[in-house]
Amino acid sequence: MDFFGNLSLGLHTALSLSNLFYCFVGVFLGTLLGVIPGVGVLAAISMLFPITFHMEVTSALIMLAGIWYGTSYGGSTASILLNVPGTPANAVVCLDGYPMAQKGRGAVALFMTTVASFVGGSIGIVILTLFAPVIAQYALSMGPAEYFSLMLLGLIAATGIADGSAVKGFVMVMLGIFLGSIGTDVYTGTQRFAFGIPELGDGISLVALAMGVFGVAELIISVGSVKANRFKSSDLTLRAMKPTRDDMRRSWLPMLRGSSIGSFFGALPGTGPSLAAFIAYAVEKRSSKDPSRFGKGAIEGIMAPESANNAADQTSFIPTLALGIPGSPTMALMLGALIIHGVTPGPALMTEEPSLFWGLVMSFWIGNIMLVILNVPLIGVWVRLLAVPYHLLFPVVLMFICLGTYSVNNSAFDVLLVMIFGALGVLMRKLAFPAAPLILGFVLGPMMEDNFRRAMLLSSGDFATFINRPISATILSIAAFIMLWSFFSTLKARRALTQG
Amino acid sequence: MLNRDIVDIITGMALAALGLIIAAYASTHYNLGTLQRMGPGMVPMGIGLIIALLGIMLSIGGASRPRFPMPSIEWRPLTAILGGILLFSLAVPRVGLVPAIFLLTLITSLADKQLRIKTVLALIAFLILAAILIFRLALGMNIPIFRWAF
Repeated sequence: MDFFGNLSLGLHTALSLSNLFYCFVGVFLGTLLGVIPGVGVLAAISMLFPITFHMEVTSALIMLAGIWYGTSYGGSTASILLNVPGTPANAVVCLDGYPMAQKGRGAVALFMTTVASFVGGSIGIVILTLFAPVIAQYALSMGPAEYFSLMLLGLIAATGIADGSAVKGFVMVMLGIFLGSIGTDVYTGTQRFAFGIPELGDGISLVALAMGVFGVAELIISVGSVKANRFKSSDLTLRAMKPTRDDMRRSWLPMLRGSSIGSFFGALPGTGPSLAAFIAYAVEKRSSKDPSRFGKGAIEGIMAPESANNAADQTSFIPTLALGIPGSPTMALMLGALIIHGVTPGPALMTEEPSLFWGLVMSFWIGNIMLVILNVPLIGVWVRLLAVPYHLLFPVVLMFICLGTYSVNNSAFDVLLVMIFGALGVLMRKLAFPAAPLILGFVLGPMMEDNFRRAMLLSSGDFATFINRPISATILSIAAFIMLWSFFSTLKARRALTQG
Repeated sequence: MLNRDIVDIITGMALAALGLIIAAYASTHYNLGTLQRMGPGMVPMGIGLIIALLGIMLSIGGASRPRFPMPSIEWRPLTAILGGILLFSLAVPRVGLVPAIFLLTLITSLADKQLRIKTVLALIAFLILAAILIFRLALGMNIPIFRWAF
């Protein structure tokens, strides 16, 4: 089918009444959960994951995706008004968003971040539409050695460029791979590290791990540290949102730069919206003529990261849908939803399930438009939600975490795992170990082991296969470059960002 | 040594020990296979060794840095929330949904000093209602509301 045929097929699928409904549910819940600090996108999607068992597969993905990019819109609200990031991807927005709110320009900041989100999202969708089919075509000729190298690149990119100590990041990746190896070995049926516990035979549930390390740990840290909102929602009139001409002039270039950075890091497996926002902010600050304005309410400092994280939200579907490699834990849950419905992720997905792929892509446009409506005229509703004291919110969130985890497999053991991983998550937070690499290692680990063992089987046990194959060698040299670069330059960059 | 970054030194050594235990366990309990035909033990053993190596690197890094203030942990929210989840996981299969939510919310609300008992009870009632509406009725899940299974 030709390109425009695909687009119209997708639009047709996305505009069906049930898909429109689920798209709305997704972006609505995404905004809602994004606004509430302590519920990241991963916890949000884990909570709603069980619901998708009862849905048609395209609708299920449209809804999950809506939550995914919806949280990025909603997350900036808490960043700007409370100085507490709604989701990690919006953390950077605090730096200049909160000072804007203190100067009485909170309404402008909220409006402009929505604009940035929409622009970033749109650019991301265009890139996804153009590149995903090309990459899928290319990927059909890739073997296990290439897949292994690509996933290795993802893991190295995730830890090497991210915030904090690179050694700690790699430790987390390896621990994640170890946790992922628990359960039944696919080749021999051996139970690994199950210690006679029958529930461990099927492996650790991703939902339980994610809920514990992200959801519960975040809640424990947030209780007592989140203050109630003093912002009056009556201040948020449409008139107060109107940006000045100076704001507009300063905003469009950072938005374009942010969107490009976001699109790139979103498509690279292992990196994602949080990192994209962080880098976009750093680039904006470095390229600014007057860097001292940053941190005091510079509009560039909210536009670049907000467009970057939304662009990354969209392009992160490129590795997920074109290669079947989840670039982030959230994407792993999306693939999980596909597998449960009997759809095999991989480069053949686009040709075998065109209405699923193109319907999903076109639903992104609809979802982004819905989000603009949800976030501009209805912003007062979300702000009122932030006025609910946190000590009333967290028991609600916790109940959903427990019941949501329980409902995936009707397993009380999974809830117990949430507690254990919650404790681990707090410990990691206190010792400054990043959580995202752990989950990514957990997700990619089993796939990497599978491809590694297959590649070694094909090469008769010769490691050179990873270097002799040109695509694999290229990917590995990029990975090696990132690794070297991270050791030498992130220290410097981080110092510059925290000091200035 | 005590004036060095003691937290990183200890974490690193603990990780090194963990990695060695993983490697030893994998190599003694599971078949390693050959490089061409790897058994189930090969990859976990490799992972264990890498974790051990990274742990040592972390310790060395810690020894080369001056002492860092020890991170403090707020025990009240930690114990209340983890305890609540533990009770929930024990209660759901034995006494059903309603008592489990009651216990979970009651215990976790201790995490914050500002919650008063009246508010907590109202919250519990609201959550039980929401759980039944969403999980039982809307999603059609088969969790017993009350049960007695010991």
